[in-house]
Amino acid sequence: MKAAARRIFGDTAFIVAVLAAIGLGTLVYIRLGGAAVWTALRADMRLFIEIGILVPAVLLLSAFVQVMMPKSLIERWLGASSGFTGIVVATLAGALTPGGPFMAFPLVHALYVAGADWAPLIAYTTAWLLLSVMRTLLYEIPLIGVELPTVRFVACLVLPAVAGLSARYIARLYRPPPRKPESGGEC
Amino acid sequence: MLTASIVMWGMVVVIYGWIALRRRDRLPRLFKVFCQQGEVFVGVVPAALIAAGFLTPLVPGEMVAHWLGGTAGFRGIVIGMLAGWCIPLPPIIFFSVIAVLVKAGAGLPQMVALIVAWNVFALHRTFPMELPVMGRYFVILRLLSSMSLPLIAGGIAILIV
Repeated sequence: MKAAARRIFGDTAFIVAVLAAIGLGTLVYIRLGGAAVWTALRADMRLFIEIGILVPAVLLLSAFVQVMMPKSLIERWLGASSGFTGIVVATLAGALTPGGPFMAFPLVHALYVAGADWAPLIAYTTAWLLLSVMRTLLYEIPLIGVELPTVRFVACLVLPAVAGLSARYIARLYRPPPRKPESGGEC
Repeated sequence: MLTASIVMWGMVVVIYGWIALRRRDRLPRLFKVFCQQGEVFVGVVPAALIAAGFLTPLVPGEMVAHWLGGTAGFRGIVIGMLAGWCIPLPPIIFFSVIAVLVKAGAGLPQMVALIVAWNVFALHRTFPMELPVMGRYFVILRLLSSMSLPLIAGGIAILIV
């Protein structure tokens, strides 16, 4: 428990994030006053409630993917030799993954640990950012009508494949780090 | 949000119900991975989200709408792309700004480029979550691979409209 606390709160990224929060918060206070700080924090609270409800579910599903899904299955459909099929499979999976705009990363990470290659993972993330039907219906259409979201959706259909294929070429020049063996943490 | 929660938790109940019945031996390992992955959501992610949340009042929607007013042609697509990379607005405000711009007569292809850039890059949204969970290599590779997407989407939109 103590080791976990040290890992979480002694992390450089955590310290940087806290400093950024304090710095930006001070800036908001100076330029816009205390009420603006309070409004921003209240908006964060709503986000935290959303995260508190969704993230445990996402983490449980990710743990399932990482521990129980046969490695051979993931490697066959999303692995380094999955080729263009892998990118198409990843695109479909990404478009169908529910959840807010940034809930899918634990799932992407689990797929990586389970043997998926970088290019399908990029295609997956891009599809989930651009082709999420639910988000289009929820945010875009009520606010800006039907025409623009429809044009945007059609224009985006090929983009996950473009990103995935680009990632494959870029990864040849910009080499990925070696895959880490599964590290054992404790709670 | 509600639908997403129901879908996600429904899947959890089905899958873990099956595990509890058939593969109880795997539960400790699952719990360990759950905790391991959950660590960033206790520390880095909330702190980074608070930091990103303070960007919203610093960049008001009206200001963004003013910057982007009257962009047209290919130049408008490029401006939309560049703006989309760095607009730190949450979805509801962002799409309200788009609605204002469309009413003011902005072109559809330009708006498509803007929305795609904002979706793919929106660093304030992806960084607090993506960087701690996925690591630096993934973020850099994804951003490099996505550079061209707003231009391609804008180009396709010109063909469609």
